[in-house]
Amino acid sequence: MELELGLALPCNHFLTNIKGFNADDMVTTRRKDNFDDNLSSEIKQKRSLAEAFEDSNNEGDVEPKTLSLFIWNGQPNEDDHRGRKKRPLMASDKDFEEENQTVGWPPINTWRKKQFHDQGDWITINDRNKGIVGGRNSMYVKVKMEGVAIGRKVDLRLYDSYQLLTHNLLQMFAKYQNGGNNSKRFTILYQDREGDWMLAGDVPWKIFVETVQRIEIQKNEK
Amino acid sequence: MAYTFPEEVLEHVFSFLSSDKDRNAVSLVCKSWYEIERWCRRRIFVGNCYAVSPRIMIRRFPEVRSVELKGKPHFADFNLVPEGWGAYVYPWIVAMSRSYPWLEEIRLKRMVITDESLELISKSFKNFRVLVLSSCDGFTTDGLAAIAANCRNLRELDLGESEVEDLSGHWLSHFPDSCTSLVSLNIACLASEVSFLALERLVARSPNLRTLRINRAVPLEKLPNLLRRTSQLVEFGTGAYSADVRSDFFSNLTEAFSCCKQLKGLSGFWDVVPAYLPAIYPVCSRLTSLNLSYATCQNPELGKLISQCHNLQRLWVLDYIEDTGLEELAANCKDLQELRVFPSDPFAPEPNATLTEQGLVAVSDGCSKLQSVLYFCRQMTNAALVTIARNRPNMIRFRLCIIEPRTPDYLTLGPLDAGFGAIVENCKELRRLSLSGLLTDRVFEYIGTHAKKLEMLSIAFAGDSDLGLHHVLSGCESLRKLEIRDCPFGDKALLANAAKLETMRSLWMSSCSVSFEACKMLAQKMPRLNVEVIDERGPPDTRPESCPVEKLYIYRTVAGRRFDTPGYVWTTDEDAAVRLS
Repeated sequence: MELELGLALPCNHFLTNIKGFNADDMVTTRRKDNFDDNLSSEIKQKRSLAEAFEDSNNEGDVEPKTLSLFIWNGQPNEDDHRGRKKRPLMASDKDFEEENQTVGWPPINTWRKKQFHDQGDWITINDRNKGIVGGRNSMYVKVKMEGVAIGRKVDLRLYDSYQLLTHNLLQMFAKYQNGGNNSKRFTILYQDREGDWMLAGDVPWKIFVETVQRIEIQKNEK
Repeated sequence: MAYTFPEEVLEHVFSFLSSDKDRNAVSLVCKSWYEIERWCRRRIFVGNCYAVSPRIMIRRFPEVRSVELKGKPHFADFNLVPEGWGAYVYPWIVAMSRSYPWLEEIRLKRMVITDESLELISKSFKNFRVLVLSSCDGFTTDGLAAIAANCRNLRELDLGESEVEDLSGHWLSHFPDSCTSLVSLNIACLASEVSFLALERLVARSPNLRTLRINRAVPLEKLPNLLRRTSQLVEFGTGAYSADVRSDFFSNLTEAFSCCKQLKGLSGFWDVVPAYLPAIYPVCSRLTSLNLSYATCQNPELGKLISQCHNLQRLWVLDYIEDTGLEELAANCKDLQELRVFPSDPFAPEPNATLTEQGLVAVSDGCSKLQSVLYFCRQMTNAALVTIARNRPNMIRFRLCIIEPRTPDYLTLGPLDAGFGAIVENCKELRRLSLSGLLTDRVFEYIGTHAKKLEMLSIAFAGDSDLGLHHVLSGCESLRKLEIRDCPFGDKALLANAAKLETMRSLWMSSCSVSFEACKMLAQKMPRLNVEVIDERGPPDTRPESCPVEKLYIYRTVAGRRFDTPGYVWTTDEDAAVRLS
């Protein structure tokens, strides 16, 4: 109790009553407008983030090279396709991860984080250069389907052919498709170690498994 | 009444009181009880190693056998406490080695322990039995070798999630052949290989071994042999759970697991190959605890495994379990008490799995014993939180982390105040709460009004004024630990509730709006609080007064100011420290 007596601190006009605090006072002096400002700036910030994202995703609209990737209809000019790089998307992903990383957030302890680093992004971070399939313990690569917000990871060791992989990928994303999972309606692309986007099936399965970094499923235009 | 009993009788009666709280209450009854109690207190828990000194502890409790100490603030787990902050255990070990020759147990959390300290432990306490190091650092496998070599009666060695410098995997071979007392061995945090031969021999001569957690470097191929020697295990942590798929090895592994008739807990499963998961099916129905939080394994394998664990009480898992897996969990595991769902890819901009508020709602609905939750997700609604709160009024720990800061209710686009309000209003026994998402001062009003038993509260990116913090400090009667980051809370609320801080263990505030001026005032007015500013930019008083301090750590202490602060910690109460010492 005697501790409270010491609360009449100098130069703190709000510490006037015996409790040392007048909540009503606080309510009235609380700058409501300021709060609203904060909120709207918050929303603004969010929006600008979203915009930044959209920009990078839609960069194809501006850059014809990438645009044609999206409207490609299943009978590509192979050379055209091979030469195509989708670097902007990758770069924006990276930037986002780095810029957006607030120290200590989300709250995952450093030890656990280390484990993830060693395992979750295993293929891209640790053993990129190993190249020998047999030596790998797990081979998770990210898979995205065009127009589906939620990506997946698949363990490539569970498959031994393009056919099996395609079948399983389409099943995995089946709930996002309304027209069944006819493989003809989709094209599976993958990014190799150089960052080039390639058509799955162009190289022997073994080489594919050794070089693939991520996979993207594109919907073919009708 | 007290004087009618001989001291020995009272001592015997007190020995039945296991909780620290009860012992503390007993010692407040009268002087003679205080005296009797202090001489027969065998276990000590110090929640903050700077709140008291070894000297004071030893003076009051001369016959201690077991000491548990905690060091750095909890936010150190998330890299918010700079390197070299403190929490060195060495002075404690030195003092105890002189006064507690019969010390048997040391349990440390977030402390720095050097090889020198480990060696001193191994040589000072003749009957040393238990060493638990949770999230500690500062030592190497050489220090562990000293423990192994010298502690002849060691029962438990648990390295928790400590950061150990791995110099050699041979430290395990320092356990003498005469060491047969091990009950628990946890070396899961070690990065490099341990001598497998030494491990195998050690477990083979430990008939009482109940807990064994090996590290990721031990390959799956070694498990069958290891398990055959340790069929009495109750808890087992695997190493890397991967191998080339071979049917003969699979049946070998399955058989080894089925031999473990006492098995109740499983963990490990690094680099898991789903094809080998069915090897644990034979023990699933016995399991009460399952930690799959390092197992990057998806459905349907994951759901299939979990749905066989009907007696599960505790499950840690990655978000790969998805809403569908949690629905299966809710339908099959009726004894579930604790659920932790960790993100598999927390830094990715988009979700990695279909894990939403629905999964948690399902578990809260299906598992009536659920009382502890840690849930990382990317979307939440007030409606879901209200449902969870109504479903599980027995909730004791509720930690929700919506990964993107200040995420609103995605249906109403409003703040999640009402949802968390429902949690504190319905869950009367709530002791621990972590908030996330878009939150205004209103949520703190709910918390201050209802969360009367709340002991630990974590706040991030929330609130809009001092009023928020004021509600918490003035309302939460049982609050002991409060940690806040990136909130607009400042001087007013802090100074107005200065006296409250003395009733709490600690307060952490980083990236808030507290001025150095207020810190100085607080330290002056409250001599029994240590007010430490952590600011790596240099002396805080060289900046304008309006410039808030980077980080602030306040804790009560009877030991006065500490003298091992690094250069970036700025204390403000020179006078107070002198007066107290």
